[in-house]
Amino acid sequence: MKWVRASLPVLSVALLSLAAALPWGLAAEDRFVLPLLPVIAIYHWTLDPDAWLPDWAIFLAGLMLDVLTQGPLGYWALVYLCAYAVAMLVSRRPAASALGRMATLAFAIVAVTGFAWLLASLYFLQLLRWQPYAWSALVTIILAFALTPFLGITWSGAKSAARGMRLTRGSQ
Amino acid sequence: MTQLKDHNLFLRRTDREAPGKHMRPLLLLLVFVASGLLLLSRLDHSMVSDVRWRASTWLSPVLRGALIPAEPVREIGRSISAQVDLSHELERLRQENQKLESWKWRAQQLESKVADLEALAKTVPEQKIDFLTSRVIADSSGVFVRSVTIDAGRKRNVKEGYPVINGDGLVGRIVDVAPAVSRVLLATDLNSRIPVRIGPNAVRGILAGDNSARPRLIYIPEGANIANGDDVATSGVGGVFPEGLRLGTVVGGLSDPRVALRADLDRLSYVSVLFFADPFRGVTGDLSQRKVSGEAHNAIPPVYPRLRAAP
Repeated sequence: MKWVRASLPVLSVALLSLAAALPWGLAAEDRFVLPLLPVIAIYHWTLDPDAWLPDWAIFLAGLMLDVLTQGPLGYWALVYLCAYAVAMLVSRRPAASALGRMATLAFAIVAVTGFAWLLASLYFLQLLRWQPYAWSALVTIILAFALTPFLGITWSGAKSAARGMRLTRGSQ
Repeated sequence: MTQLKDHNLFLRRTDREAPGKHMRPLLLLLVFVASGLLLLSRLDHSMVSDVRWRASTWLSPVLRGALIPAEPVREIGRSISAQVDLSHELERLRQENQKLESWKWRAQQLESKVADLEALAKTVPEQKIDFLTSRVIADSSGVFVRSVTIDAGRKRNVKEGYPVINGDGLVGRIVDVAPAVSRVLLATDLNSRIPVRIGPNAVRGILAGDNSARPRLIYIPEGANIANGDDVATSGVGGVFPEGLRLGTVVGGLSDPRVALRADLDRLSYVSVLFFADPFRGVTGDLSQRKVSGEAHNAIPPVYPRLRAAP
């Protein structure tokens, strides 16, 4: 169980990245929400001092998504590393209230989506339409308020399971 | 001893200079590597596309496995969207059925006439095209590319260039083939170019994808008589696609004519690959050889110049 707990952050980011490549039947412009879901997980785990989510795992998750979506290599890897950097900056001055945490999460998603738009515009050397990105950021913020508690509950469950095993070992 | 260890641990945990994680040099290295890969992709380096396709092929069993738990969720989504569209769809089908009933009788009459005329003229029968139906296992539709991956490849005799259709019409064509999977470039992709004929006057043109839901019609002759609602189908010019595959209808006015595709490219579950080989491949080579050897001097130049990807 300790192993599951340790790998939960990496596994969740990898699974969300994999899910972003599956055919869910969404319109092409709405599909941009899916690759933003790992951003929520990256932000959440980076803020948790006990969670193990190395930067190379984030890079690999982004690269895997680039490969699966047949897009330019390095695009999602850069976007996810940007999410990691934003989360690290936020973790230096964590918000005390729940409202503050929600606001910083929303800010992080908007910042990362803005970076993704800027990077795609640089790639094509023309300003792309920002509306699909803004819409995706909005949907991702709404989804984040559901996904973040889910990740927290899963983490607490894995934590308590791991703690139980340690007690058993100590009593032997 | 245990107390001392706990004490040390306690000191280590609380004597941090600042809360939060710190950036490591590895992060900068990873950013540098990702930027380099992005630049190579922008330059369209052949190594990058080759590595990407190989890696994608290796990951295809993972995608197949991931589809198993995802399938019920997709099914729920499909049924919800079907329920939402049901009343509109019913009305549309009722009207279409009325039209088709009158056309059915006319089609039967015409069919018998055509059969009689073909027998009289000793017409060569049309070539029948084999096909293979395959499942879509990955959707790569995003800001950069519009393509899907299907779970049929070289082992199933799928080759590059084969047209791909579904029940509603043309979807795209095969651009990459691995032993077990293939990549289909959708008609909406920036790099997709399909020779088409438009409307009852069979006006020639090219359907050019631009990563939007409705691809553009380009290279239409000056003064061509086309209108909104005209049917668009493949013309067969160039030999990449067989003639007469349905695509959609003209929309958006004559200043910027576009095509509303019949096939819903966002909700592809199963598609069919047509085993259509370029019928002109041998003929063109033969003509060029003849010209060189001086046997023929009236070789026909290609109808369309070689197309480049749109900027």
